[in-house]
Amino acid sequence: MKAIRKALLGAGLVLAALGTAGNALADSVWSSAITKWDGDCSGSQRDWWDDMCMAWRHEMADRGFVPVWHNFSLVRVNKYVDPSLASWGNDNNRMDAQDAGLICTHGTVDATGWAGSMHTKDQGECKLNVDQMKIGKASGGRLRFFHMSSCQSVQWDKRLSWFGPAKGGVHVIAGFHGLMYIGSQYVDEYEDLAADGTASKGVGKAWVDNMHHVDHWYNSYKTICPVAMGFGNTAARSADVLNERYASKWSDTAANWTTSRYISGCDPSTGGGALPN
Amino acid sequence: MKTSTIRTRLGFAGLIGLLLLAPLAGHAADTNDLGSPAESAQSYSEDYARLVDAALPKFNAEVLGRRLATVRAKYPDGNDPLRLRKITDIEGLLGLPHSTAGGADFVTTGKATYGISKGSGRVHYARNLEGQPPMAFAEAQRSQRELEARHLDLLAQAGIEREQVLFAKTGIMSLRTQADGDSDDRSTLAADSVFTYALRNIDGLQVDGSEAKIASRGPGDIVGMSLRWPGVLLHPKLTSFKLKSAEELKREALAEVKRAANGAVVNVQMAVVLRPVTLEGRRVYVPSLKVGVLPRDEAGAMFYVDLPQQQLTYDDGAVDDR
Repeated sequence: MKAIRKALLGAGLVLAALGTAGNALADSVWSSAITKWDGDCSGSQRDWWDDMCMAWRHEMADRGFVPVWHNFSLVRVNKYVDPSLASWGNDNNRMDAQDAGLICTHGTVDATGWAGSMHTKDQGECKLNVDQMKIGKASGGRLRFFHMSSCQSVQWDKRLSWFGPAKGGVHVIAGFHGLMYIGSQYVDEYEDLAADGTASKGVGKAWVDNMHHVDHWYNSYKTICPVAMGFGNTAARSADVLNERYASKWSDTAANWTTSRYISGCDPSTGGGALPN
Repeated sequence: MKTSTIRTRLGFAGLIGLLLLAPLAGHAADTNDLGSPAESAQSYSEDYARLVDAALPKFNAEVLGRRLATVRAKYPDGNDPLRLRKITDIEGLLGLPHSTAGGADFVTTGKATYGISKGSGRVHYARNLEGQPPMAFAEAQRSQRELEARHLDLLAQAGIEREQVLFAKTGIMSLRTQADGDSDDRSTLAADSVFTYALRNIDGLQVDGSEAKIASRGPGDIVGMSLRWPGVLLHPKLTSFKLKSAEELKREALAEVKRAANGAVVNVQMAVVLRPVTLEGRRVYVPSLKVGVLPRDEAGAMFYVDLPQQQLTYDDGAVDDR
């Protein structure tokens, strides 16, 4: 039932906000989610993924941000690829034209650092890779916060590969070490991320604090291990930028340093070993 | 694949653990009949029927039904122990001066933001840490045990008594800093805070989605708090505590497991929980079997199977498309 409803609503899009692409007219946020891989790329169906993404987007909209979303069959690689890295890349008119972006899709660690699954093949590609991205003002866009609801998106041993996209000027990149899970019980966490990141704490902190949880089965449990990375021109700045909220608009600095925020020793059970101290 | 087995805390959690393990005993002394046996957590296969069979908790449906009826009788108006009902309660708990700066359901002073979320009832507090140096990691390690005790005491003051805690864990939120091109060997390590994370139970039954988080930078220096500890009222239309048979539960679970697994090798875990749903605009709880489909190489899926035979209507929490 839920799956059918999602298929029918697969083309959600706010045209009004697209007109502001690349311009600093209104603070805006981008989200992309896939639930059913019924295009020519593959992945197992996860019905609640767009609810998780939507909870964040709706809360951001309620707090004054213009929401833009490209879901389901509209999730294609060109929208996240920078034109400086591939001529067909169009991120500066899509995700990178907003202040914050969230992508909800299957992911896996690969040689570049992360490969996110697209719905439909574009330029012959079903995967978005780290080395195709450059996000932020210095690369023609304006994204300050990029989050991935996606497995192994900030895999510990590969996390420094995110220096590449961060050279575009983005302030914070956040994802997961190891596998994460999709279901109705996680929807509130995404709403709380938006609420906390807007009103009470930095986005990098709100990400880790809200996305960490234990799925308990009485006789065993599994832990979810989020990681947020702040980037800056100094060591101190890269740590402090984790305190930047969605609407704070801190100045842009070069991504020469990074600070990773994570739970010491967090063991995701599957898809990665325990994090260090 | 590594599976974390329960590391029961000494003291209160140890006692809680024993209490949890006792009521539906009849199997090994260290197995809780409300959850999948521990050994099933290691089992990956494409034989989904076998996985479901192995993961189904071994509870006796009649015993569990009586237990749920007892919960209903014990909390006819719901279980709602949290003492933080208004802004001044948070200020009292944390020793903050009273402030009215902010909005209808929150205060923001520049030094901190706190409040009680209108929709969810979540109690939240965050001290503004902009520009402030982190803790030394060694100091976080040294103070971890003391801060854990303080966090648990604070939770008790907030109304979260120890018998309500299913699981608690205290850890360090780390900050690792390095320059572009530097390896981890050349990074510097500090601590953002020491935090305690707790999950909830009512009379041994896990309350899904209910959790407490508190973080400190030192004794008496709370830097963050998030309490999702809402009132728990069983679905008011639930009048019969006759539960589905094991075969029925397995049949319903298997259909979803097959769909979520999509032909892949997966692990399956299950737990009896009280699951939040919405009925006529308010949160109520349905006794459910929570099922996790856990692949090795892509995001897992969680879903629920209602335990009662009685058909119940409710909103499952899907977000409206807009």
